[in-house]
Amino acid sequence: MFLKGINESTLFPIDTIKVVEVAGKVGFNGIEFRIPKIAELIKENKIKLLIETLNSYKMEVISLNSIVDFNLIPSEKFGKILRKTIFLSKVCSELNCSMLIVCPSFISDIKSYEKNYIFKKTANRLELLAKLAREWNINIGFEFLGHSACSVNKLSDAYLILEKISDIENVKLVVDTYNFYLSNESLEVFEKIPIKMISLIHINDAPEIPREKLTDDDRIFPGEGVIQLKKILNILKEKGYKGYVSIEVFNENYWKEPPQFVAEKAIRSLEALL
Amino acid sequence: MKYGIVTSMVTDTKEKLVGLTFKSFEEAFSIIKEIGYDGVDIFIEDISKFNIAQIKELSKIYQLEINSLDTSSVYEKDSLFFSHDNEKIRKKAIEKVKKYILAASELDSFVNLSLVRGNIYNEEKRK
Repeated sequence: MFLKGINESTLFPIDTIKVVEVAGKVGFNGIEFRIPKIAELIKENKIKLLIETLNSYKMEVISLNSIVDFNLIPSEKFGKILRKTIFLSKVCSELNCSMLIVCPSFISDIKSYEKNYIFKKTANRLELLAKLAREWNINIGFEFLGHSACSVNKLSDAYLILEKISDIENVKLVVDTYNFYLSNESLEVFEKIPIKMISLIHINDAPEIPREKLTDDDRIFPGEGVIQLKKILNILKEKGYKGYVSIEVFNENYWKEPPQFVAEKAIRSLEALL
Repeated sequence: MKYGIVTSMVTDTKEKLVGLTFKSFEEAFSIIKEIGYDGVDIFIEDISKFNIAQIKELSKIYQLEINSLDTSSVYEKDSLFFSHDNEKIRKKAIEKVKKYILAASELDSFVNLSLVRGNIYNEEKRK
Protein backbone atom coordinates (compact mmCIF):
# COMPACT_ATOMS: atom_id res chain seq x y z
CA MET A 1 0.00 0.00 0.00
CA PHE A 2 1.54 3.27 -1.11
CA LEU A 3 1.00 6.59 0.58
CA LYS A 4 -0.29 9.46 -1.57
CA GLY A 5 1.79 12.59 -1.66
CA ILE A 6 1.91 15.85 -3.54
CA ASN A 7 4.78 18.21 -4.13
CA GLU A 8 4.07 21.88 -3.59
CA SER A 9 5.42 22.56 -7.09
CA THR A 10 2.27 21.02 -8.54
CA LEU A 11 0.18 23.91 -7.18
CA PHE A 12 3.09 26.29 -7.08
CA PRO A 13 1.98 29.92 -7.31
CA ILE A 14 -0.46 29.77 -4.39
CA ASP A 15 0.41 30.34 -0.76
CA THR A 16 1.89 27.31 1.04
CA ILE A 17 -0.80 27.27 3.73
CA LYS A 18 -3.43 27.25 0.97
CA VAL A 19 -1.57 24.36 -0.76
CA VAL A 20 -1.86 22.32 2.45
CA GLU A 21 -5.57 23.09 2.74
CA VAL A 22 -6.31 22.18 -0.89
CA ALA A 23 -4.17 19.01 -0.84
CA GLY A 24 -5.59 17.99 2.54
CA LYS A 25 -9.19 18.43 1.40
CA VAL A 26 -8.77 16.11 -1.59
CA GLY A 27 -7.16 13.39 0.51
CA PHE A 28 -3.39 13.46 0.12
CA ASN A 29 -1.56 11.87 3.07
CA GLY A 30 1.55 13.96 2.79
CA ILE A 31 3.12 17.00 1.20
CA GLU A 32 6.55 18.05 0.01
CA PHE A 33 7.55 21.66 0.45
CA ARG A 34 9.86 23.84 -1.65
CA ILE A 35 12.64 25.44 0.40
CA PRO A 36 12.16 29.05 -0.86
CA LYS A 37 8.47 28.88 0.07
CA ILE A 38 9.30 27.62 3.56
CA ALA A 39 11.90 30.38 3.88
CA GLU A 40 9.13 32.89 3.14
CA LEU A 41 6.96 31.40 5.90
CA ILE A 42 9.84 31.57 8.37
CA LYS A 43 10.32 35.23 7.47
CA GLU A 44 6.62 35.90 7.96
CA ASN A 45 6.63 33.98 11.24
CA LYS A 46 3.98 31.56 9.97
CA ILE A 47 5.54 28.18 10.76
CA LYS A 48 3.21 27.66 13.73
CA LEU A 49 0.21 28.33 11.50
CA LEU A 50 1.58 25.89 8.92
CA ILE A 51 1.94 23.15 11.57
CA GLU A 52 -1.60 23.80 12.82
CA THR A 53 -2.95 23.58 9.25
CA LEU A 54 -1.05 20.34 8.62
CA ASN A 55 -2.41 18.87 11.85
CA SER A 56 -5.97 19.87 11.05
CA TYR A 57 -5.80 17.91 7.80
CA LYS A 58 -3.75 15.08 9.40
CA MET A 59 -1.11 15.61 6.74
CA GLU A 60 2.54 14.85 7.19
CA VAL A 61 5.50 16.64 5.67
CA ILE A 62 7.31 14.18 3.43
CA SER A 63 10.33 16.27 2.51
CA LEU A 64 11.91 19.65 1.91
CA ASN A 65 13.02 20.15 -1.74
CA SER A 66 15.88 20.65 -2.46
CA ILE A 67 19.46 21.61 -1.85
CA VAL A 68 20.91 21.74 -5.35
CA ASP A 69 24.40 21.79 -6.81
CA PHE A 70 26.12 20.25 -3.80
CA ASN A 71 28.49 17.69 -5.23
CA LEU A 72 30.81 19.46 -7.66
CA ILE A 73 30.94 23.07 -6.50
CA PRO A 74 34.42 24.18 -5.37
CA SER A 75 35.48 23.20 -1.84
CA GLU A 76 35.46 26.79 -0.61
CA LYS A 77 31.80 27.18 -1.58
CA PHE A 78 30.72 23.90 -0.05
CA GLY A 79 30.63 25.40 3.46
CA LYS A 80 27.49 27.28 2.44
CA ILE A 81 25.81 23.97 1.60
CA LEU A 82 26.87 22.49 4.95
CA ARG A 83 25.46 25.45 6.86
CA LYS A 84 22.26 25.27 4.81
CA THR A 85 21.98 21.58 5.69
CA ILE A 86 22.20 22.33 9.40
CA PHE A 87 19.61 25.10 9.14
CA LEU A 88 17.19 23.02 7.05
CA SER A 89 17.61 19.97 9.26
CA LYS A 90 16.41 22.10 12.16
CA VAL A 91 13.46 23.30 10.05
CA CYS A 92 12.66 19.68 9.05
CA SER A 93 12.73 18.71 12.69
CA GLU A 94 10.32 21.50 13.61
CA LEU A 95 7.94 20.37 10.85
CA ASN A 96 8.26 16.73 11.93
CA CYS A 97 9.61 15.99 8.46
CA SER A 98 12.25 13.30 8.14
CA MET A 99 13.76 14.03 4.73
CA LEU A 100 15.86 16.72 3.14
CA ILE A 101 16.35 16.22 -0.60
CA VAL A 102 19.62 17.06 -2.34
CA CYS A 103 20.27 17.15 -6.09
CA PRO A 104 23.58 16.88 -7.96
CA SER A 105 25.35 19.67 -9.85
CA PHE A 106 24.93 20.39 -13.54
CA ILE A 107 28.12 20.69 -15.56
CA SER A 108 28.49 21.92 -19.11
CA ASP A 109 31.60 19.85 -19.87
CA ILE A 110 30.45 16.61 -18.28
CA LYS A 111 32.63 14.48 -20.57
CA SER A 112 35.80 16.02 -19.15
CA TYR A 113 35.02 14.60 -15.71
CA GLU A 114 35.93 11.02 -14.90
CA LYS A 115 33.02 9.04 -13.55
CA ASN A 116 35.10 7.77 -10.62
CA TYR A 117 35.91 11.34 -9.59
CA ILE A 118 32.23 12.30 -9.64
CA PHE A 119 31.25 9.17 -7.72
CA LYS A 120 33.88 9.63 -5.02
CA LYS A 121 33.28 13.35 -4.58
CA THR A 122 29.50 12.89 -4.45
CA ALA A 123 29.74 10.03 -1.95
CA ASN A 124 32.10 11.98 0.31
CA ARG A 125 29.89 15.04 0.30
CA LEU A 126 26.71 13.03 0.86
CA GLU A 127 28.40 11.46 3.87
CA LEU A 128 29.21 14.89 5.31
CA LEU A 129 25.65 16.13 4.78
CA ALA A 130 24.19 12.96 6.26
CA LYS A 131 26.35 13.14 9.38
CA LEU A 132 25.21 16.72 9.99
CA ALA A 133 21.52 15.91 9.36
CA ARG A 134 21.74 12.85 11.62
CA GLU A 135 21.92 15.10 14.67
CA TRP A 136 18.24 15.96 14.07
CA ASN A 137 17.27 12.44 12.89
CA ILE A 138 16.88 13.68 9.33
CA ASN A 139 17.50 11.52 6.27
CA ILE A 140 19.18 12.86 3.18
CA GLY A 141 17.21 11.96 0.04
CA PHE A 142 19.56 11.82 -2.95
CA GLU A 143 17.69 12.57 -6.17
CA PHE A 144 19.50 12.05 -9.48
CA LEU A 145 18.30 14.24 -12.35
CA GLY A 146 17.96 12.60 -15.77
CA HIS A 147 19.20 15.51 -17.90
CA SER A 148 22.38 14.75 -19.82
CA ALA A 149 24.22 17.72 -18.28
CA CYS A 150 23.58 16.56 -14.73
CA SER A 151 26.62 15.07 -13.00
CA VAL A 152 24.59 12.11 -11.70
CA ASN A 153 21.89 11.37 -14.25
CA LYS A 154 21.14 7.66 -13.89
CA LEU A 155 19.47 5.64 -11.17
CA SER A 156 22.15 2.95 -11.47
CA ASP A 157 24.89 5.56 -10.89
CA ALA A 158 23.06 7.09 -7.94
CA TYR A 159 22.82 3.63 -6.42
CA LEU A 160 26.53 2.91 -6.96
CA ILE A 161 27.36 6.18 -5.21
CA LEU A 162 25.24 5.24 -2.21
CA GLU A 163 26.86 1.83 -2.07
CA LYS A 164 30.17 3.60 -1.42
CA ILE A 165 28.76 4.96 1.83
CA SER A 166 26.58 2.01 2.72
CA ASP A 167 27.55 2.32 6.40
CA ILE A 168 25.78 5.69 6.53
CA GLU A 169 22.18 4.76 7.19
CA ASN A 170 20.47 8.11 6.71
CA VAL A 171 21.11 8.58 2.98
CA LYS A 172 18.53 7.08 0.63
CA LEU A 173 17.47 7.40 -2.98
CA VAL A 174 14.65 9.56 -4.25
CA VAL A 175 13.49 8.29 -7.63
CA ASP A 176 11.62 10.65 -9.92
CA THR A 177 9.87 8.81 -12.75
CA TYR A 178 10.39 11.72 -15.16
CA ASN A 179 14.12 11.79 -14.47
CA PHE A 180 14.24 8.02 -14.79
CA TYR A 181 12.51 8.31 -18.18
CA LEU A 182 14.97 11.01 -19.31
CA SER A 183 17.92 8.79 -18.35
CA ASN A 184 16.59 6.11 -20.71
CA GLU A 185 17.63 3.28 -18.42
CA SER A 186 15.94 -0.08 -18.44
CA LEU A 187 13.36 -0.98 -15.81
CA GLU A 188 15.66 -3.80 -14.76
CA VAL A 189 17.66 -1.25 -12.76
CA PHE A 190 14.86 -1.22 -10.20
CA GLU A 191 15.27 -4.97 -9.77
CA LYS A 192 18.89 -4.54 -8.68
CA ILE A 193 18.27 -1.93 -6.01
CA PRO A 194 17.38 -3.07 -2.48
CA ILE A 195 14.03 -1.53 -1.66
CA LYS A 196 15.26 -0.19 1.68
CA MET A 197 17.51 2.14 -0.33
CA ILE A 198 14.53 3.93 -1.88
CA SER A 199 12.86 6.45 0.41
CA LEU A 200 10.54 8.32 -1.97
CA ILE A 201 9.04 8.14 -5.44
CA HIS A 202 8.26 11.32 -7.34
CA ILE A 203 5.62 10.42 -9.88
CA ASN A 204 4.74 12.23 -13.08
CA ASP A 205 4.48 11.54 -16.78
CA ALA A 206 6.06 12.75 -20.01
CA PRO A 207 4.36 13.73 -23.26
CA GLU A 208 5.28 11.84 -26.39
CA ILE A 209 8.07 14.08 -27.67
CA PRO A 210 11.76 13.16 -28.06
CA ARG A 211 13.51 12.85 -24.72
CA GLU A 212 16.21 15.37 -25.62
CA LYS A 213 13.54 18.02 -26.15
CA LEU A 214 11.81 17.47 -22.82
CA THR A 215 12.20 20.05 -20.06
CA ASP A 216 10.90 20.00 -16.49
CA ASP A 217 8.03 22.26 -17.54
CA ASP A 218 6.70 19.47 -19.78
CA ARG A 219 5.86 17.19 -16.87
CA ILE A 220 2.24 16.07 -16.87
CA PHE A 221 0.01 14.08 -14.53
CA PRO A 222 0.55 10.32 -14.20
CA GLY A 223 -1.27 8.31 -16.83
CA GLU A 224 -1.39 11.14 -19.37
CA GLY A 225 1.92 10.33 -21.04
CA VAL A 226 4.29 7.63 -22.17
CA ILE A 227 6.22 6.60 -19.03
CA GLN A 228 5.66 2.98 -18.00
CA LEU A 229 4.40 4.01 -14.58
CA LYS A 230 2.27 0.94 -13.93
CA LYS A 231 5.26 -1.31 -14.55
CA ILE A 232 7.45 0.79 -12.27
CA LEU A 233 4.87 0.77 -9.48
CA ASN A 234 4.33 -2.96 -9.89
CA ILE A 235 8.04 -3.63 -9.49
CA LEU A 236 8.10 -1.43 -6.40
CA LYS A 237 5.03 -3.15 -4.99
CA GLU A 238 6.53 -6.59 -5.55
CA LYS A 239 9.74 -5.50 -3.86
CA GLY A 240 7.75 -4.31 -0.85
CA TYR A 241 7.96 -0.54 -1.18
CA LYS A 242 5.49 1.03 1.25
CA GLY A 243 6.46 4.67 1.20
CA TYR A 244 5.18 7.79 -0.48
CA VAL A 245 4.41 8.17 -4.16
CA SER A 246 4.33 11.91 -4.59
CA ILE A 247 3.12 13.87 -7.61
CA GLU A 248 5.67 16.43 -8.72
CA VAL A 249 5.00 18.52 -11.81
CA PHE A 250 6.13 22.03 -12.73
CA ASN A 251 3.56 22.67 -15.40
CA GLU A 252 2.52 26.30 -15.86
CA ASN A 253 -0.66 25.24 -17.61
CA TYR A 254 -1.79 23.56 -14.40
CA TRP A 255 -0.90 26.64 -12.40
CA LYS A 256 -3.41 28.64 -14.45
CA GLU A 257 -6.27 26.36 -13.33
CA PRO A 258 -8.07 26.67 -9.97
CA PRO A 259 -5.93 24.90 -7.31
CA GLN A 260 -8.80 22.75 -6.06
CA PHE A 261 -9.44 21.48 -9.61
CA VAL A 262 -5.72 20.70 -10.11
CA ALA A 263 -5.44 18.91 -6.76
CA GLU A 264 -8.51 16.78 -7.51
CA LYS A 265 -7.16 15.92 -10.95
CA ALA A 266 -3.78 15.07 -9.40
CA ILE A 267 -5.16 12.67 -6.81
CA ARG A 268 -7.47 11.00 -9.34
CA SER A 269 -4.56 10.42 -11.70
CA LEU A 270 -2.56 8.92 -8.84
CA GLU A 271 -5.37 6.72 -7.54
CA ALA A 272 -5.98 5.37 -11.03
CA LEU A 273 -2.45 3.98 -10.97
CA LEU A 274 -2.14 2.73 -7.41
CA MET B 1 44.82 5.62 12.86
CA LYS B 2 43.56 9.06 11.92
CA TYR B 3 45.32 11.53 9.63
CA GLY B 4 46.00 15.12 10.54
CA ILE B 5 47.86 18.05 9.05
CA VAL B 6 49.27 21.33 10.31
CA THR B 7 47.62 24.37 8.85
CA SER B 8 48.10 28.08 9.13
CA MET B 9 46.56 31.19 7.70
CA VAL B 10 48.15 33.76 5.42
CA THR B 11 48.22 37.17 7.04
CA ASP B 12 49.78 40.43 6.01
CA THR B 13 52.83 39.81 8.18
CA LYS B 14 56.07 38.50 6.81
CA GLU B 15 56.32 35.82 9.48
CA LYS B 16 57.39 32.38 8.43
CA LEU B 17 54.30 30.23 8.56
CA VAL B 18 53.98 26.55 9.25
CA GLY B 19 52.34 23.71 7.33
CA LEU B 20 49.74 24.23 4.63
CA THR B 21 48.95 27.89 4.33
CA PHE B 22 45.55 29.26 3.32
CA LYS B 23 43.80 32.58 2.90
CA SER B 24 41.31 31.71 5.60
CA PHE B 25 40.53 28.92 8.04
CA GLU B 26 37.32 28.31 6.08
CA GLU B 27 39.37 27.61 2.96
CA ALA B 28 41.80 25.49 4.98
CA PHE B 29 39.13 23.30 6.55
CA SER B 30 37.17 22.80 3.32
CA ILE B 31 40.22 21.72 1.35
CA ILE B 32 41.76 19.60 4.11
CA LYS B 33 38.46 17.72 4.52
CA GLU B 34 38.09 17.13 0.79
CA ILE B 35 41.63 15.76 0.60
CA GLY B 36 40.64 13.21 3.21
CA TYR B 37 42.26 14.23 6.50
CA ASP B 38 40.49 13.56 9.79
CA GLY B 39 41.92 16.44 11.80
CA VAL B 40 43.99 19.60 11.83
CA ASP B 41 46.80 20.99 13.95
CA ILE B 42 46.44 24.75 13.97
CA PHE B 43 49.44 27.02 13.88
CA ILE B 44 48.29 30.18 15.65
CA GLU B 45 50.11 33.31 14.71
CA ASP B 46 48.53 35.52 17.37
CA ILE B 47 46.49 33.89 20.14
CA SER B 48 44.85 37.22 21.05
CA LYS B 49 43.19 37.30 17.62
CA PHE B 50 42.33 33.59 17.53
CA ASN B 51 38.59 33.14 16.98
CA ILE B 52 37.62 30.06 19.01
CA ALA B 53 33.93 30.22 18.03
CA GLN B 54 34.82 30.23 14.34
CA ILE B 55 37.13 27.23 14.70
CA LYS B 56 34.49 25.38 16.74
CA GLU B 57 31.93 25.95 13.99
CA LEU B 58 34.32 24.91 11.22
CA SER B 59 35.31 21.81 13.16
CA LYS B 60 31.65 20.87 13.46
CA ILE B 61 30.50 21.48 9.91
CA TYR B 62 33.58 20.01 8.21
CA GLN B 63 33.74 17.21 10.78
CA LEU B 64 37.45 17.69 11.40
CA GLU B 65 39.02 17.22 14.83
CA ILE B 66 41.27 19.92 16.19
CA ASN B 67 44.23 17.82 17.19
CA SER B 68 46.37 20.55 18.66
CA LEU B 69 47.11 24.24 18.84
CA ASP B 70 50.68 25.00 17.91
CA THR B 71 52.61 27.46 20.08
CA SER B 72 55.62 27.91 17.78
CA SER B 73 54.89 31.58 17.24
CA VAL B 74 55.32 32.30 20.97
CA TYR B 75 58.96 31.42 20.49
CA GLU B 76 59.46 32.46 16.88
CA LYS B 77 57.49 35.68 16.75
CA ASP B 78 57.31 36.87 20.38
CA SER B 79 60.71 35.47 21.42
CA LEU B 80 59.21 34.09 24.61
CA PHE B 81 60.25 30.71 26.02
CA PHE B 82 60.19 28.77 29.27
CA SER B 83 63.93 28.36 29.67
CA HIS B 84 64.89 31.99 29.15
CA ASP B 85 67.47 33.52 31.51
CA ASN B 86 65.15 36.37 32.28
CA GLU B 87 62.40 35.51 34.74
CA LYS B 88 60.07 38.18 33.30
CA ILE B 89 60.34 36.57 29.87
CA ARG B 90 59.68 33.15 31.34
CA LYS B 91 56.57 34.45 33.11
CA LYS B 92 55.36 36.12 29.94
CA ALA B 93 55.82 32.82 28.08
CA ILE B 94 53.76 31.02 30.73
CA GLU B 95 50.98 33.63 30.54
CA LYS B 96 50.86 33.35 26.78
CA VAL B 97 50.77 29.57 26.78
CA LYS B 98 47.97 29.65 29.36
CA LYS B 99 45.85 31.38 26.69
CA TYR B 100 46.53 28.48 24.33
CA ILE B 101 45.53 26.02 27.06
CA LEU B 102 42.23 27.82 27.62
CA ALA B 103 41.51 27.85 23.88
CA ALA B 104 42.47 24.18 23.59
CA SER B 105 40.17 23.23 26.45
CA GLU B 106 37.24 24.75 24.56
CA LEU B 107 38.20 22.90 21.39
CA ASP B 108 38.90 19.62 23.17
CA SER B 109 42.40 19.57 21.75
CA PHE B 110 46.03 19.41 22.86
CA VAL B 111 48.57 22.20 23.06
CA ASN B 112 51.78 21.53 21.22
CA LEU B 113 54.58 23.14 23.24
CA SER B 114 57.18 22.60 20.54
CA LEU B 115 59.71 25.47 20.49
CA VAL B 116 58.34 27.36 23.46
CA ARG B 117 60.42 25.14 25.75
CA GLY B 118 63.36 27.15 24.42
CA ASN B 119 67.07 26.42 24.39
CA ILE B 120 69.62 26.71 27.14
CA TYR B 121 72.99 28.12 26.16
CA ASN B 122 75.99 28.48 28.44
CA GLU B 123 74.40 26.09 30.83
CA GLU B 124 77.38 26.00 33.17
CA LYS B 125 77.03 29.76 33.85
CA ARG B 126 73.37 29.54 34.81
CA LYS B 127 72.31 29.22 38.41
